[in-house]
Amino acid sequence: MPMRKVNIISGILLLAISILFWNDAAGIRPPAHIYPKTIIAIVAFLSIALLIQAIFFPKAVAQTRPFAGIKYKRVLLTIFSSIIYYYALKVIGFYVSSFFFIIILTWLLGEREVGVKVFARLGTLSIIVMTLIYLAFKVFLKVPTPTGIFF
Amino acid sequence: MLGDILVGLQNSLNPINLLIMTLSLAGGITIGTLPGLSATMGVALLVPLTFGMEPATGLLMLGAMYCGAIYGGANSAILINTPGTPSAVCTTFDGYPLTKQGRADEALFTALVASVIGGIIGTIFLGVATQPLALVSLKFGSPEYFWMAIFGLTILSSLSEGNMIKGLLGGALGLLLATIGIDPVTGHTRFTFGFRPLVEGITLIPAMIGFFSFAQVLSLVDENQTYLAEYTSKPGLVKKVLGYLSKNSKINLLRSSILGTFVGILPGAGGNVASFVAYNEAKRFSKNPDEFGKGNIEGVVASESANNATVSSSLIPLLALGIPGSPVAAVLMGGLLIHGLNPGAKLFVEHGVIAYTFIIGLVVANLLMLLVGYFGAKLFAQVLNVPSHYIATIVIVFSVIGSYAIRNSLFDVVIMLVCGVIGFITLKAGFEPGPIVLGLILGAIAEDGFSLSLLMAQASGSIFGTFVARPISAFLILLCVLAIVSPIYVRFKKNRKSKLAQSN
Repeated sequence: MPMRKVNIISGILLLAISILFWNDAAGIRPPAHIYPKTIIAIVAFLSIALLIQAIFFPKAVAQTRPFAGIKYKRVLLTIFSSIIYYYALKVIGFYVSSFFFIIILTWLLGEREVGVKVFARLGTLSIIVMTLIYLAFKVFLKVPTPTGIFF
Repeated sequence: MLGDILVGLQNSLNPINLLIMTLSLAGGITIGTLPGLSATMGVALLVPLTFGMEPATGLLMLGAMYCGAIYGGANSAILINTPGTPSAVCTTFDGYPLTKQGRADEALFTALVASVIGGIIGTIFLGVATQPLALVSLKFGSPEYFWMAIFGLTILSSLSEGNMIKGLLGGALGLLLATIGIDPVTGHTRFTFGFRPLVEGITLIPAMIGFFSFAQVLSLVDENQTYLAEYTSKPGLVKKVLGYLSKNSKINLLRSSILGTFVGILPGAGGNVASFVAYNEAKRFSKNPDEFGKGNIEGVVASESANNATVSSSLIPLLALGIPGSPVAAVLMGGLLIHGLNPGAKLFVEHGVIAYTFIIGLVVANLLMLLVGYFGAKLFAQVLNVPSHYIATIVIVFSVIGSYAIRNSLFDVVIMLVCGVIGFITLKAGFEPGPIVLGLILGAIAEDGFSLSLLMAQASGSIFGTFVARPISAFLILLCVLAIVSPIYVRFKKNRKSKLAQSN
């Protein structure tokens, strides 16, 4: 997708967000409404400026294709794994879910070789990282971590 | 007084105190390097340990932890584009591009030296100008804070690489995100769209971790390179960096450290605002402003000297007036009170030895940081020899725990993940995360200043008198105008010069 099209979509999206926020700001009592409405107006004004630039002055927009060549599979895999990890934190707890998360995502993002050695290496890495986190957060800093069925 | 200073020097050079400061610095650097763990958290953690210590030793330990934590933020900012503390956001702008160019060790060591110099300059001000500077900070009211935030926002034009509209739009979006939650004037909720967890607003640190850290992980995964960047330790680094700084960066170091000192004394401002202001000024005064954001070492110098200068200067209102101007100062105040020391001007009279031991100890701690930080940087730089898919996964785990640790809230993890995905998409669309985070940081300061000033104007009956006709406000407005006009003037002059050269 060329940058010009990206800017048009961004402009429309941000303008829509401004309208959404402007409608919500209608309920704010004066004088508290001045600051947020000013910011919304600035966002709307700049969104329109971005649209005008993209539509009428295409030469001013960089001639690149910003979303070309993105490895969507890898990016989406990371996002979905992180979402599953978030839910696992709530159910299983931080330490156990993080231990498995490190092994699974590192394997998925890596060469995906199968073998005892590979998983032994990933397991060792995960144990080292989790031990360091445990010592730093739990033992030394006494910072609570998300808890679940396990710790 | 001279006697107190000499005893203070003797105390701070005591071997036990030196050992305690060294350990505390190492702990502080580690805490600062980890995103989500703050200097406040580190200092608060050490306060109970000071119970059984001599008051001066305890304070030196807390001061060293504070110095180390603020500097430590630069390590992750430079190596993995993730600011360990909000005050290291500006360090990412040039620090990470330097890493990408294979100059990570140069950036790390420059950050260290700049932090040490900034820290020492800030401490000198703490020692010699505590009283007058504290009085200046008291003259800052809501209108001045509002204009200071606006001055900070003028950096947006210089952060906008490529498309200025996008840079300004990013900053405005950050300001808009900062308005979500409770209205500071009426106390009503706004822009939550019926989603209750948003009542507490978008918390800065999880959002910052998302925009910089999680978005960076997604970029790493997308790039699919074996290693983050090429890295081989180069000989003669110390000589090279010190030679460069002493030859080319003297003015930048001094200006940024003084700016950091002044911003640091203002309650509520802190290292993040100081580094943005110093970065902007360094870029404006530079002969090569176009190189900023692409790996200009001066950007690292400005950001790091300014944020470490705030360490000592943020303690000025506390030591001179007994007013804690920052969260860390509040925790340190607790540390003073448990030893029966009442902060304020009397501290220097009644407990001069302790007060001067603390101040001189901060200079010693900064010098020790040069040693501890040097070995630490060598160790942290090894991160670049780890395959990038290992780093990506581990950074996600640290981002999750770092976001959670701020308020022990899983919703903050959601904020981090959402901001990360938005950050990745907007980065691809040409919106840099810097302006968005700057808007988030300054949004709260700007709105509080604006709203309270408006109420003051209503009470006094004069908007002009409240917002403009105050000496510091007028000075800040002048700075804002200069900040906006000067780049336009420079660009105009440059264009004219190149046109003239072409016609000849």
